[in-house]
Amino acid sequence: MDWRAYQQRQRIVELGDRYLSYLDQGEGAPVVLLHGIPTWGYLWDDLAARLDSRWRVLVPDLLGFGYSDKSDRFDRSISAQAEAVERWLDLLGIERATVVGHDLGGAVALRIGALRPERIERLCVMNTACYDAWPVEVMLQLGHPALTRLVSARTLSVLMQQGLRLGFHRAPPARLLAGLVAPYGTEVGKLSLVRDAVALDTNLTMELNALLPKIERETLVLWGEGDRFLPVQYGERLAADLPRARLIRLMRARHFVMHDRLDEVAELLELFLSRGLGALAPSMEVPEPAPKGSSGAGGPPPPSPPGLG
Amino acid sequence: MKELGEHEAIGELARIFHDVRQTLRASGVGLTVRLLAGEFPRSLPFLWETLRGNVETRAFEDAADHLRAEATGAASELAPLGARPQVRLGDSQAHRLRATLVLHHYLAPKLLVLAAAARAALQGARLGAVGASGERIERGVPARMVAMELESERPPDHRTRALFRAVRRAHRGQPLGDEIRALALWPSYLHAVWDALEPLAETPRYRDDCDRLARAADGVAHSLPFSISLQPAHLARLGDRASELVDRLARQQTQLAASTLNLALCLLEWDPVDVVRASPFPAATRAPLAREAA
Repeated sequence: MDWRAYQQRQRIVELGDRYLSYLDQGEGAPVVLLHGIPTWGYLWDDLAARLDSRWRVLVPDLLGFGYSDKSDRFDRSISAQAEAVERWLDLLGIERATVVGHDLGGAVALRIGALRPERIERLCVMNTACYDAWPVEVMLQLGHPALTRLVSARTLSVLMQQGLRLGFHRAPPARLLAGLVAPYGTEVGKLSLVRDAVALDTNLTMELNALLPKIERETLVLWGEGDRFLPVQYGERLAADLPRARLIRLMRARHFVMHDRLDEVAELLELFLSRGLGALAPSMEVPEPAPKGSSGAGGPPPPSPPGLG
Repeated sequence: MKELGEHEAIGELARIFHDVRQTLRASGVGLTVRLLAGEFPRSLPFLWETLRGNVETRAFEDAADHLRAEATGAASELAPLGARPQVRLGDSQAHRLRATLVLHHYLAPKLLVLAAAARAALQGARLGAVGASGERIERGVPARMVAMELESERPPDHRTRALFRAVRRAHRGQPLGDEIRALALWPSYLHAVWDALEPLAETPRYRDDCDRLARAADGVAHSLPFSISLQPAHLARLGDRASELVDRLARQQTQLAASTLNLALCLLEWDPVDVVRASPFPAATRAPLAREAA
């Protein structure tokens, strides 16, 4: 849907002096989708629509992002974000949920998984910030305080759209790019993003290293193979360190794997959510999708990879 | 007219902007201060330092509270805008929109007192009420106040651009009020508000209410506790003409009186009149310094 329609569907909750906007759709076991930087809950719109017929899908805008509180006076580190997510779940009366995180959101998910495992049903991380994989160069630049004076909000929006395109294997629809940058088109939005970027702290993922092997919950690690920001080797590390994890590489996909391979990501998640890692083959690659129409052109369709019906 | 955006300020003006936000207890400095920074950058620090002692007082806060209450009373006797029912807003949108209205509803009367006091002082009025208390209020942006987020003066949405042009025409080329740019983040709501306000603003009753508010601001400016000395000669040494500054402040006073009334009109569609009349961010008294206490 258009980002304005998405925004209209968002609810809101007050977390002390802050507020958090979120989407809540579907019924069933709760699944939380956590976006990264520089996006917001709208990132998950298409995937959420695939899941909400069977699960209750909850999509917050992390503090400082999207249409959550963007005032210039609170901690935006992943530790603070993890605490905020937990308080938000408390307010919704949700004790445990499957948490799916992408990029920065994946780091938040891992942090909750490591420090508050009792809140986690299952974990899924996609092209996630972890170890010392972050912050990436462009985020280091974005976080410089001088940027607020050097670049107007409009210019930054244009630059952001150009940068975001690099995270897609194929050119994304214009409405998606426009929607992803929409909350950051004002000076307040721009400043909030700068503050979000400067809060990216490698120490907060490195301190989890000793805890990763203790995460007992099943973890699905999905990775767009062609990610130029967060290389797949970090996904390999995670899959090795997490005791109950499975890495699935998706070919012809980059950082925004949930868009590049929406059908496959949705199907893998549905299998994982309903049947766990046992439904998925060990460490697999999902090749590029067959061209449309090829299955009727004479030969039998190519076999589906194991784990994808 | 040239304003200096808050993100553009550096050096002394950035320091002044920070001090203004802290002293006015707002997450933004407001259009009046941005205009002064843009048009009179050399004089603004002097102007602010001269006024600041009054701005941080309970008397100043009470003066703004009085204007807010007056505006609410006047608004409650005008016909309801009918804007809110026309627009479909989600929970998050409604929450943030209301919080934005509250922010500007708090700040506009304070800027109105500031503009009135500065203008009067520049015109030679003796300000400083004998016997008035110099009690000071706490500094800092209230914890629950939202960020002052404004749409660009040239918004990407063509309907909103057209509305901005219409507002500027109606205000004879004056810069857009902050409440207009803030509400532009909810374009449908802003359009509904403007559709109601545009004809209302032509009525004698509305104009009288605005005039009364502007004059009331002149009155409360005289209740501030500390004398203010703003000598045109000093401004001339800084390279600015007092007459131009007076003109700018007078126009701002007129605009702010209307904004104060309009914000009350908007908020009466969200909250009961008693809530709108009261200060949304009551200020605690600042503890005196040890030497003051002694």
